[in-house]
Amino acid sequence: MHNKKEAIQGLTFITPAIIILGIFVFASIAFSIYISFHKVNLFTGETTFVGLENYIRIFSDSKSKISFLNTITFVAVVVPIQTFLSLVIASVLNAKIRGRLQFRIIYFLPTLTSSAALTMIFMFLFSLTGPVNQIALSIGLLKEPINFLQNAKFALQVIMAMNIWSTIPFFMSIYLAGLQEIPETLYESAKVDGASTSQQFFKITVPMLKPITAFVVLMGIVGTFQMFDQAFIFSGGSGGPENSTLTVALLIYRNAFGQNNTMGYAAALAITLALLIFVVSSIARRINKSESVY
Amino acid sequence: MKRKLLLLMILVLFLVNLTGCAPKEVEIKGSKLVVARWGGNDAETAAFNAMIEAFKEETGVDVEIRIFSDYNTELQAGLIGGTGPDVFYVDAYMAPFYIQQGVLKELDEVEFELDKFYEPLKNAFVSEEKYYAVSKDYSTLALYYNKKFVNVADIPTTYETLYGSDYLTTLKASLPEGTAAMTYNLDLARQLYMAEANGASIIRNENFSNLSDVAVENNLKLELDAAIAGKIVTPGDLGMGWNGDAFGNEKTAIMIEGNWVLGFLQQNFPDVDFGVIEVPTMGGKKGTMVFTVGYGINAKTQNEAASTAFVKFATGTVGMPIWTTGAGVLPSRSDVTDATKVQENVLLIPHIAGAAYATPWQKGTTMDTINNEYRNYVVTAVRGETSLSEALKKAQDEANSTIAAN
Repeated sequence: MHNKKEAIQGLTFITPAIIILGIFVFASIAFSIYISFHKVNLFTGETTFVGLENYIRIFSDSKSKISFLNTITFVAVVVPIQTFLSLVIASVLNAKIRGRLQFRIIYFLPTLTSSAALTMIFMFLFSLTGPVNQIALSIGLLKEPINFLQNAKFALQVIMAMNIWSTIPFFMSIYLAGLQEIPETLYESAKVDGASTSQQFFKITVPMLKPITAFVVLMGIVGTFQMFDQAFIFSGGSGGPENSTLTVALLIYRNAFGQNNTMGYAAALAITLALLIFVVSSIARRINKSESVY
Repeated sequence: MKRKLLLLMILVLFLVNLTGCAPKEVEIKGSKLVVARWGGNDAETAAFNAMIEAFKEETGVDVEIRIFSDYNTELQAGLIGGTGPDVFYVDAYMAPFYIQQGVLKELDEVEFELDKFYEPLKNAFVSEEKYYAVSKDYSTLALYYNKKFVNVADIPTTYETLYGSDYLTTLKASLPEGTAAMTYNLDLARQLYMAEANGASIIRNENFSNLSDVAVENNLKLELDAAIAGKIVTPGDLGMGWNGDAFGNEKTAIMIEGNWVLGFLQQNFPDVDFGVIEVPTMGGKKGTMVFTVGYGINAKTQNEAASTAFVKFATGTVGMPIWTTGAGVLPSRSDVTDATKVQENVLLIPHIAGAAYATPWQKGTTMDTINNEYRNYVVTAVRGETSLSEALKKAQDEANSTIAAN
């Protein structure tokens, strides 16, 4: 009797969440999967079953090849750098230095700024007459200013720099929380045994933070694979110059809206991207787990 | 008790009478209309609001203005979800797409006085001789020159001489360090009239890219060869966002730009002394681009009468002048052009002249894809990495494989 009452109570509490998740998450996912096998016109409501055609097109479409390559390059560069740098900055800020609270606040600021505003600021910094070029010219690093924004060789790299810079603080604060959990006694005994600071970092800090690193890498992979806003603002939605900033998410958007109206293909791309993220993050998790200290 | 019942019956009868037999003119009064547009500058917003107020006063219709920032995405989402606005801006460029999707209501040529509109503007919203939107204003491209650097009498009046002679090279030599002779845009939105000069077409079989066609290539070659030779540069090459910035900051002496740049220059760069002339001719013929936006009515609107009244008002002789004079744009109707005396503004004359012979920025439903590939690949030719014909071939093939797959 008591159990039944409790069950009803519990169900009542979770019902609102289930309904909202059901409509906005599960039903949407199911609908995306459904339309990825169809040729759809959402205006007229016409749907034609086309089987795997949308998925096969991903492999023959030169745009999708470029976008997957861009995205994978982006992930491969950004995730390791942002993980490593946030760990290093976190351990520095964890050391007993003066004004570390102030430093923590300053370092955390980029996370609070909207990515749209950051993109505009970075576009100014890297523009032909912007500070980056001016400084590089004045210290003799460059002979001629580089047109970072218009040159296909540099455009994606500017976005990478921006993404690393803006995501480090968030991951850093997670690492900081993790660092508080490492018992001080471990460092003390290491010191007694004569371990240097760098040895302590690589032999104690890094292994002890394995579970945190797993989380950071996972969030990094998910976030970078889905990168859209920065590329969209940077290129004005075109993915240019010369498709160099065309990410998978941007390609999905371009196929879903505008004059294209190929929602089915966009859905197929989205599902493929989701599968790719799933596979890559499971691999990352497995690698990390095999060396776990726990 | 009986008296109460009687009173109630009288009341019911009275209500039925009120709603059932209302005369037709009063019908739209008190109804609510949703109008969607994209955001503009302060002058445009003020002019639009003033026009809405005038409409409200005249008809008693309540208008809700919806501003979409990512316009076509938000509009499409609304139309698909059944929550679309009653009346909305339709860019001529997107018009064929919306017409094809059947989201626009067909408009009567006579009722909306379409014969009063400039021909290219009227025809921007036509499909199979049926009209789907009414132009609210327009812009054309004209040539802007900085009087400090350029003597207007020296500017060649044909593209053949402008790009073919050493005029721009000589001009460049006389300019301060870092200032270009002329800027251009690598964008079919600015180059379509050149690409299609002498009867060429950038589209074949209704919606496939035809950029690599010999006639199109020869047309584009004129400007692109000048770009390859470094006689002209893009605003991006100068580290500028667009022509207006480059010209205002005196980073370029000549540009070809739309009349929307006028207010921008006068407001932000009052010290720059400039003149405006018509775009040079090509093959002996005048040409330029015209951009127009119209009001379309949602095919699924519940407020057809009010929507019709609004479009008629906004594109009529009362509403259009409020908008065009306030926003500083050009009226799409010749009678409003005369009434508002825009021709008295010397700087606008070349733009108004263009309305008669301009090519509208519109070409079927696949222009997005064609232009995207064009901009992506032709830039490699300008940099000298490939030849122009190879780049155009690549741009054409890439676009066509996407179009075929769609």
